[in-house]
Amino acid sequence: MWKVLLRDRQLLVATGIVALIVLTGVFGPLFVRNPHGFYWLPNQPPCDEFLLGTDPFGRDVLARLVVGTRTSLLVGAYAGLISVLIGVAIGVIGGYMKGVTGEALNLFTNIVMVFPMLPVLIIMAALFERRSLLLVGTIIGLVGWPWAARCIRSQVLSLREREFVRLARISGDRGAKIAVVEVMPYMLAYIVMAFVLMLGGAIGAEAGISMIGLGPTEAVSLGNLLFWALVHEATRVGHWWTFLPPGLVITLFTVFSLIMHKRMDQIFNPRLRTW
Amino acid sequence: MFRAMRGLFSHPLLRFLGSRGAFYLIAILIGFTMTFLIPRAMPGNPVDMMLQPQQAGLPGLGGGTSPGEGRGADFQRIRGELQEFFGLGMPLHRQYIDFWQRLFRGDLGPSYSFAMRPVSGIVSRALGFSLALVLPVLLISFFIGNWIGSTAAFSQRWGSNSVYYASLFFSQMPFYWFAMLLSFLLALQAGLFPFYGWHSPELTPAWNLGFILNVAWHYTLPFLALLAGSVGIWTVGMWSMTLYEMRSDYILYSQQLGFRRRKLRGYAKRNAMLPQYTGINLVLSGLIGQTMITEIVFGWPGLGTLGFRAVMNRDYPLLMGTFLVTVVIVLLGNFLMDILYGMIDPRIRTGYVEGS
Repeated sequence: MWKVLLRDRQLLVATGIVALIVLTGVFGPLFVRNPHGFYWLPNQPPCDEFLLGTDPFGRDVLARLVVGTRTSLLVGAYAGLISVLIGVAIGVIGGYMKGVTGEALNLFTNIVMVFPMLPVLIIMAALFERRSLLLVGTIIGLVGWPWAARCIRSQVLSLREREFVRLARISGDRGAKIAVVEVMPYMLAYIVMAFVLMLGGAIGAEAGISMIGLGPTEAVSLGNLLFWALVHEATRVGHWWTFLPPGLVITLFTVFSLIMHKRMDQIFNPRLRTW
Repeated sequence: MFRAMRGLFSHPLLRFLGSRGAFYLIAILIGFTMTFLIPRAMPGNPVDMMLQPQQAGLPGLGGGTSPGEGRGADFQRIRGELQEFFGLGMPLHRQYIDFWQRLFRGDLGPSYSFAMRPVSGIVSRALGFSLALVLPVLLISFFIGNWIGSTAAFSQRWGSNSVYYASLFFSQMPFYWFAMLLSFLLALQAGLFPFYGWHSPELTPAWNLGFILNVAWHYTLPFLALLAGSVGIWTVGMWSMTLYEMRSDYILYSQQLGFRRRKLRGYAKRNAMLPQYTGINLVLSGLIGQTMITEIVFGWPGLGTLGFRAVMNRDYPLLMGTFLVTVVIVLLGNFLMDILYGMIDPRIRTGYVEGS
């Protein structure tokens, strides 16, 4: 198994880049300047001293990018965790229970999914005057779970017909116990991957609501950096170093976590397996 | 009468549409009920919560900037109008009935950042501007993306992989970020397009060629930014589906029979397209959000710019109106796509599978 994983170059590259971004977010802030400090002349392009230049207040853009990555990952982790928790609960129960409960949960999932995400986030975030990272993460998680629920439900639907699940049923175990003890462990890889995908999606969602002015207050996040670049009309005055890097980090993270997901699916999913 | 109704729904397509219609009605009911409940479930009274920043003297209300000023006659009048709009003081079930009655009358309340003009009028004007972006982008990107995806996946030559990765990048980037990049490259560096607005400030809106060309000139950049991302989404989907279809038995068999590649590609494309039609709904939901923010980047006066203004002025009724209209449009678009899909997919048309 490990040999196969290590032989897959796409998987290695994708995992490497995702890990690099995560590590930068976790440990990077230890090595950069204070993101709030007014260090130098405002609006300086990248140079040796300030690798990504300075913003209109003379703050170090690289430092803000690194700290923003941490903030966005943190919001994404809160959101991913909440999405996955709700998604697993609803997906497992909805997939395992036949009849009214399952149908009702499926209907509920589909209804939440049909709403456009950004407007729902906006209308919820607008109710709060001050928004902490946890709050923003929670809101995104509460809106984003249907994807996880759907993925997990379809897994459960195929797992419930497997022999070992039938055996457990014949030996008299109760539905809830089978779902937790027999079915869940089989899905751990899926759940972890769903978390990573949700995390990527949540980073994008955070950037979206930040752009409309409803992101976390008093925090430097990737969305917040883009928002201030917009407010200071960075494109009109040509300060590309303020808006290019945050968007690039968001995009690279989601792209490579998707590639990671696809390759792992190809390795773990027996129907797609090519080795 | 019931028999007649049952007769009506005996047709598989109609039964499919009936169940989808019921689904969207439930969705709207739940969504709107949430927008009714959430502000009322917050601690304190929603009107005071909304007016808090004005009370503290933040901008947004008649330009009053010093503390105290917000408590003047204007403030009391606005407070009264908002309280009446929310129906506060009535029991909750009366408020709820009142909420729906107002919605059916098209009354979305007054907007205090637009001098208490009705929200419905402001929002419907913005809706036109947003749809002018969303619909052409959705339609054109669908054709371009599916064409690129199926061609690239089928050609299997060097470079078709890079088409895939480029599309993946475009599909995952924030579209508004790409919009900023385009604004920087094409508006600032190349000087080809304007930065902001939907027409040049010196022109007054009129139906003449000069003005229409001017609007088209302003329209180009937001349109291109959204198009690039949407094409990416369709290309990625089509690429994967085509690869999947190419491994299927009927294609391998036709290959053995010696069919021409053009013909094979046609067969694969028709089957690979079906999931793409269902994808329209999902892309529409995502695209509306991306469009809203791209509008802010370019100051295109659609729902996004309106929502942004509402947020900046803490104009909750305006924000809520924007939200309700966006949701209705997305759900309506979903329903229309379901109708179209029901007609396209022969299995649903003839009742071979129960559509759910």
